[in-house]
Amino acid sequence: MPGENPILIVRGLKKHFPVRRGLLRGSGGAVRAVDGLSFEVERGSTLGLVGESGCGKTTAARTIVRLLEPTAGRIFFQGLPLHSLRGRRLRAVRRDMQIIFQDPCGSLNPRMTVEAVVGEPLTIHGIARGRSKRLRVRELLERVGLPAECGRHYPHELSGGQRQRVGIARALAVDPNLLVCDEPVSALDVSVQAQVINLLADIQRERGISCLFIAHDLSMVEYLADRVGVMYMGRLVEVAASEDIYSGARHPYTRMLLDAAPVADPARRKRRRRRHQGPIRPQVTSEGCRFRSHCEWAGDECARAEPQMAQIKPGHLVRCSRFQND
Amino acid sequence: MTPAARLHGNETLLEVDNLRVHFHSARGVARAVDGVSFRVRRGETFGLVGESGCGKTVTALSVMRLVPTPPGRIVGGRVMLNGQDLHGLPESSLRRIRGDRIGMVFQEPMGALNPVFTVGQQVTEVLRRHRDVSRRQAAELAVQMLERVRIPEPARRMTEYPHQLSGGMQQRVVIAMALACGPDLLIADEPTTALDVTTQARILELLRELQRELAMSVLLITHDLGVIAEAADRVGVMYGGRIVECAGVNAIFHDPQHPYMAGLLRSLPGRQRGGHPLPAIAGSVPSPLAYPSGCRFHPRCSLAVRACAETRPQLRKVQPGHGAACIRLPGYWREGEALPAGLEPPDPRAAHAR
Ligand SMILES: Nc1ncnc2c1ncn2[C@@H]1O[C@H](COP(=O)(O)OP(=O)(O)OP(=O)(O)O)[C@@H](O)[C@H]1O
Ligand SMILES: Nc1ncnc2c1ncn2[C@@H]1O[C@H](COP(=O)(O)OP(=O)(O)OP(=O)(O)O)[C@@H](O)[C@H]1O
Ligand SMILES: [Mg+2]
Ligand SMILES: [Mg+2]
Repeated sequence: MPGENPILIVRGLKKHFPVRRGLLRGSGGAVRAVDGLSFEVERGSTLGLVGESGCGKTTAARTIVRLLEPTAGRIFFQGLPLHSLRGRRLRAVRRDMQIIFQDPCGSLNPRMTVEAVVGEPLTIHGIARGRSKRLRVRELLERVGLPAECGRHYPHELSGGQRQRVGIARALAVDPNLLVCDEPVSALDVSVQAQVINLLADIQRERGISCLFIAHDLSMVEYLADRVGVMYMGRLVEVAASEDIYSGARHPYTRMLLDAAPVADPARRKRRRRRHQGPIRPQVTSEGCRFRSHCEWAGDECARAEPQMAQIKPGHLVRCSRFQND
Repeated sequence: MTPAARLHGNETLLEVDNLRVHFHSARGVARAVDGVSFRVRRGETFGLVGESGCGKTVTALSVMRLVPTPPGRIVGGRVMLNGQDLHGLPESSLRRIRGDRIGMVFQEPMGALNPVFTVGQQVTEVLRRHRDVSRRQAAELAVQMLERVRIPEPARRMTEYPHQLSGGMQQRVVIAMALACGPDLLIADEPTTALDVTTQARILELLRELQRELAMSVLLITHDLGVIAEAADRVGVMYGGRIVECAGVNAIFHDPQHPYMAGLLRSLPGRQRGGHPLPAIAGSVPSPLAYPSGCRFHPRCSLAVRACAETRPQLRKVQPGHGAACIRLPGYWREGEALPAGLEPPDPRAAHAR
């Protein structure tokens, strides 16, 4: 059951970016990348976050680990109000949550050796120095399946899969309780993705780490996540147990996403429906359901007010006018 | 039999034979394409799939002799379109064929569009370059083309600039330009990779419909196995600059022969029940600067024996309509052929253990 022992609680999180005048006229001068996001991650479990490009997944991840300053909303991590912490106290809490990025190359300092990259958090958080640090780094490299001599290399000398392993080793260095993974395998070759997914799953299991796993590959999320949240234009439109999303999705956007995702099986070729012919153009008005211009069920009530998240069965939430509890 | 085969028989439109393309740099010679052969039949979608760096884009570019030279050089092979040897033609004739008999669509739509001209100017320009039509006629045809790629309000879109369109709309414009002259062959290199899944689904559907309407062939290049399964009739699987398996789409996905393709499909999370580790392929893709000897997949292959490091496998028919380059396959050796030293008689079950 959800809500029993969450390690992370996010409530009404917003992150707006100011835009230069003229670029996005009429939008109030801001990109509302994350616009009222609420969810929780249960201790020891994985929440998957899916949604199309630009829906705010990366912004959400970076705001939650406080690499970005939230515009509004609250974040409770291990019971502490992360949104209002500053300075030393923030740093202390952040040690328990680590982030793994999509682009393993861009997120690693190119002038530091792998050994230095992985060892840096140990120094920052005063965990280990000198010989004990070197030993710990070697242990970490071994754990993520990198040969010890990789330590002396620079990130650009490694393959994409190896670089992502370095990112994982670095995140593990401080023994975090929560891993935020932002598309950790999207940049990797298909034949290497499974290796890294297995590594993440193993580590999570053996250390009981909780995980917020962001991806646009639905099958990857289905495989790894206990629960899945579907994001559309900065907020969630559906949250449910993995199997309920994949076999009983209720929100029309979730269905459209599942319908569109190509499956590596010609026997399941999709008979695509012609009605989704136009481009997905975001709703410009702030009133009403954001998805309504693409929704086959849209009615008058959908234009009046944005639907609230409603529970249609325990643990399954949907934001759609057809399912409003009143 | 594919729908295309019913219509056109098995007539070959494009034939690529033993194509070899090298890139020279300070770090050495990259054998990006190293003996690639395949045929695209009339009216079919031939999918070329493989991981990054395996040579898909270079193959596509060399079909039209568009490889940047230097550093690249087509060092061997033959490309025939409709029985005409493309690489034997002078550049001026080839230029006429590009955009006329062969249309091209690439991953980044903005790479094919000029930001300072309107959509209308760009589509009309293609028509005027290849067809003897007046400005007026070209403009009318252009609107029809935009309509054909399902762009809403095509007449109004003609006056817009590329940056005013979404990525999906830009790619539709590029497709309209590629199809403007009614080509026999459309080469689409990762046409949907930069797009969202919902947009991708629409573009793939569009390509399928247009192919039927225009009776053209498509060479579809992608790294995405899902896209291939959705869109291709026949498939060539590339690894390390070569095609290692080639068959109809159903055979490729339901009865893969090459250990690389079989392993790749097995490792996909969609095919596994949660809770079990994914059966991953070990190692990573080889660099074209330093391929392993023999079979280029052998260092990662669970079926590899010593002979795999010593013998270069040919792409051979191992089953009816199904080619694969693996000496461990039972159907690989012909009767009476001498097996290389160290290769025990093949185990008929080995390759099919899935
Ligand atoms: N620093 C920034 N300044 C202004 N706008 C930004 C900034 N970062 C992100 N955005 C905008 O916020 C929106 C959400 O972006 P974000 O990167 O979070 O999406 P995403 O869901 O991670 O997409 P993708 O799947 O492409 O990674 C986009 O419209 C993006 O252009
Ligand atoms: N302009 C170039 N200069 C030097 N080498 C090149 C160039 N273009 C391609 N290569 C070499 O050719 C190899 C194959 O490249 P190609 O672009 O065909 O790969 P691909 O299969 O299309 O990969 P991707 O999926 O990443 O697009 C590369 O690994 C690279 O070594
Ligand atoms: Mg992102
Ligand atoms: Mg390419």
